[in-house]
Amino acid sequence: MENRKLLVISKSIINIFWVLQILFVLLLVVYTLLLVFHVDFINTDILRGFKIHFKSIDFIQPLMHDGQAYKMKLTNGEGRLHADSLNQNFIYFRILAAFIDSVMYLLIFYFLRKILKNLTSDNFFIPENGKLIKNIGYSIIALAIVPEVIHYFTDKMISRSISIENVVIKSEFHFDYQTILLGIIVFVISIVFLRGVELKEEQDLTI
Amino acid sequence: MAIVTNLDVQLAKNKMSLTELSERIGITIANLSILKSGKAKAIRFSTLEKICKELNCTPGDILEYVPEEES
Repeated sequence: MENRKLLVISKSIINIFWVLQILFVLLLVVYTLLLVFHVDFINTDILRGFKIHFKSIDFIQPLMHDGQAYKMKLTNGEGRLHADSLNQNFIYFRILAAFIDSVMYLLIFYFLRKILKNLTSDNFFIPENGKLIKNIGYSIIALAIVPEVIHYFTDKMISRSISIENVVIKSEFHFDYQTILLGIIVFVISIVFLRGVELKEEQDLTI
Repeated sequence: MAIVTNLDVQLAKNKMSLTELSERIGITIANLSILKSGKAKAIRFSTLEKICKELNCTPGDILEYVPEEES
């Protein structure tokens, strides 16, 4: 009974995430269309800006404290770069990465919803659930790799084509090992689960 | 599967229906049908014993090995 309650709660939470994710994808599409078509009724210039990671930003003006000048700099951060009359096509690569990211999340929520639907109708050890868990594993691994690859190449392009005095733009490949590890764990669980399904079938067909 | 069951033959020999056998040995008709149709993956010794006792036969009369043709 306790597990059934947990299942219902999980199903509700996943359904909320699912709706929010669909809304986010729709917003992303609207955002892209606004940027592509330069609509008049909205000032799209405030939307134009793309995320960059910086290694360091040196302050030109030193900090004055007690009559002494201190040189200052910011290191390892991120922000959105807005600049007038600059070719900002990079923004579309960023949107592409965000879109892939969202689609992967949508896929994961879709698989989860299907699993929870099966579980609430008392279908636990069925091959479909095993395959769905495996697909979640693949999606998590893809989620960790694909957007990062796009980010890496975009960062490279940005750092090559834009040079700002006193600012060092970062372009390093971020290996998201935590998410990859999570994906591998889910993948391994799916293999164990599928073996469990086989054993259950064998048990069911033992007379 | 290379193992086939001749449960229907033994039932006919004993003039017994599947329902009657299921009532006598206490195994559901659904499970006996799985055994009869050859969908079963394994059979417990206890089940085999009960069937043999009721049908007055040996396991060899119920189970038969028929080599599969290699394609």
